[in-house]
Amino acid sequence: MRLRKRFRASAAISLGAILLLALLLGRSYLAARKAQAEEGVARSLENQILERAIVRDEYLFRREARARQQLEMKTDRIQGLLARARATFQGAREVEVLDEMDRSFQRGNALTAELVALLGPDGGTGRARADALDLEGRMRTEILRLTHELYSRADALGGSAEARARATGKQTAALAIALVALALAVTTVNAFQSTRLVEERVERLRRGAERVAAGELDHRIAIAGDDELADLGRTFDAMVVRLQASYASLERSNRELEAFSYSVSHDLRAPLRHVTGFVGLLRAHAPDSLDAKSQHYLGVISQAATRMGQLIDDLLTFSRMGRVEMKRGPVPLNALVGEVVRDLGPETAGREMVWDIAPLPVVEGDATMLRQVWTNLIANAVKFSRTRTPARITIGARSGGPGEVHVYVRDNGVGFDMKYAAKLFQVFQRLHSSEDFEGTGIGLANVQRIVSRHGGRVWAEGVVDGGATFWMSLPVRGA
Amino acid sequence: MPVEVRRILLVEDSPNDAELTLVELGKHMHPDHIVHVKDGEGALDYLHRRGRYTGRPTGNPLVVLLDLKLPKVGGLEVLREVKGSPALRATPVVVLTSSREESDLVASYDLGVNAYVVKPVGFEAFARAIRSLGLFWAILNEPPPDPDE
Repeated sequence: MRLRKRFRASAAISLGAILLLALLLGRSYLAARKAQAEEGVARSLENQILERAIVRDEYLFRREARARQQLEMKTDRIQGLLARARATFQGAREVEVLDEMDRSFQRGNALTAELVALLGPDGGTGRARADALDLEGRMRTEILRLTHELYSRADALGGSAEARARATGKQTAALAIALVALALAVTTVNAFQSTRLVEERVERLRRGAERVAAGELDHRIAIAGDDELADLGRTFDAMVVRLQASYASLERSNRELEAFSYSVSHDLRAPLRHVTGFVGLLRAHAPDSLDAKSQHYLGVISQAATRMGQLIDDLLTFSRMGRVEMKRGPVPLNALVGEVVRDLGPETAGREMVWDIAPLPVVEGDATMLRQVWTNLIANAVKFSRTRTPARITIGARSGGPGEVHVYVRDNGVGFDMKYAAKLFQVFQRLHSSEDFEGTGIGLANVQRIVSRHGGRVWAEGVVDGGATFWMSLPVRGA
Repeated sequence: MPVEVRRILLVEDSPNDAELTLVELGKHMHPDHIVHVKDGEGALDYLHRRGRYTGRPTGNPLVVLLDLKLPKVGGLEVLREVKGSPALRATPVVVLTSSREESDLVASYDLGVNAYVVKPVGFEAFARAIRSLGLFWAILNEPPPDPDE
């Protein structure tokens, strides 16, 4: 199920529960109000019945016109209240009670009217009065009984309304509790399941991404399901499939390139060796039959072949620097530079050299590659300051951006024209003739390739006959 | 049993390289003591005394100078077979090749090569290398005794 659906379902259930609760409360409120009204009617009836009994007694006792009027008023009141009660109470049992009340009421009224008529306005005289009093005695008993009956029924009505209100309240409370419990249970289960699902999916995605990041390109996350995270997993898998394909094609072209440079190294070098080899054999075989000119020609052939061998070797090195895997580690530059300067001893022998090497940082990189960089840069500085006495070579560093350092090699040699600065780092680009300064023009291209593989860049400053400074940025160890 | 003269086996497909090598080696030893085969199959035939070398005198060569890039059976294949065979394992094998590729170096040493020499481009350097190899393996080095036939 989609996660969105799950979350929406939870929200809908909560909302539904709230609505139902509101309806229940409304219903309960209405029921309570109705019960209150019913009880009110019932209690009014009770009061009126009691009051009328008192008024009637007063009238029967005093026979005053005012009391009689009051009695009639009360009778009308009760009549009205009974009519209202009929409108209010609808239960079959209550209607029955009301019918009985009606009957008692009518009968009581009839008896009262009879008694009033019997006694007459002045209370009667003689024999009639004695009979009337006797009758009155019995009628009053009957009237009292009827009144009591009427009163107790009104009381029962009130009681039943109250009981019904209480029952409705209880029912409402029970329903509300059940509803809340149900809604809570459903949303809790839903939330629990959703959370577990999300956790499981995210963990699987995380682990999968970790494995792919570690180079396990044939790993698939393969989440079954139709939720959003399963979709994400499938998209991720599709991405890895494409990544794997590009990786494979990259590996293929790398292998092709390697096969190519293998052929170059093997097949291109062999003919050169044969040229120099047979020139050598020719010289050894017939030293006397060759005049000076022939010897010179043979020398040129041999030198040209040797130089071409050097070019091929340099190109191969250049190509390898772009292909071989980097072995990163801490590289203390001062130690490296010291070794390189020592290795260049044969080149500096017999020359007056002034070395000024500042404290250099420890950088992060491939020691073998960086040695190549420093060898190229320092050998260049040594070479192009050959005409200077003393030759002055300065090596230093300054902090660059965050996590990187700028290091430089400066010489007081022949320098270069800044308008060719961009050409310096291109393959086989040279700014000096090979008669003046030997070289194949691959050294600085190598420097640039290696430094850029370290995430850095190279640049140079120079003045014709004013020396040159070569800069590079390198990542600092621990950055 | 007559004591058989032990020879250098040169496995080299390039006739030019072979000629240069033979000329240089010939300065220091009798040309008959150098056997030249042009491919890996010939090398294995010679070593196993089969094919056209069925009747050759017994005894393993003093050293095998082995090019890597060979027709039919490659140099690494020959090396694998020599170092995997109980009868040949002790025979010194020197790879003599134009290839400086790291993969070749690693593979050769993994298979148990005794030395790995890259053919120098310059004639002088090449001649020097061949001379040193010949002097070392044919004269200075004490070869393993031949296994009993």
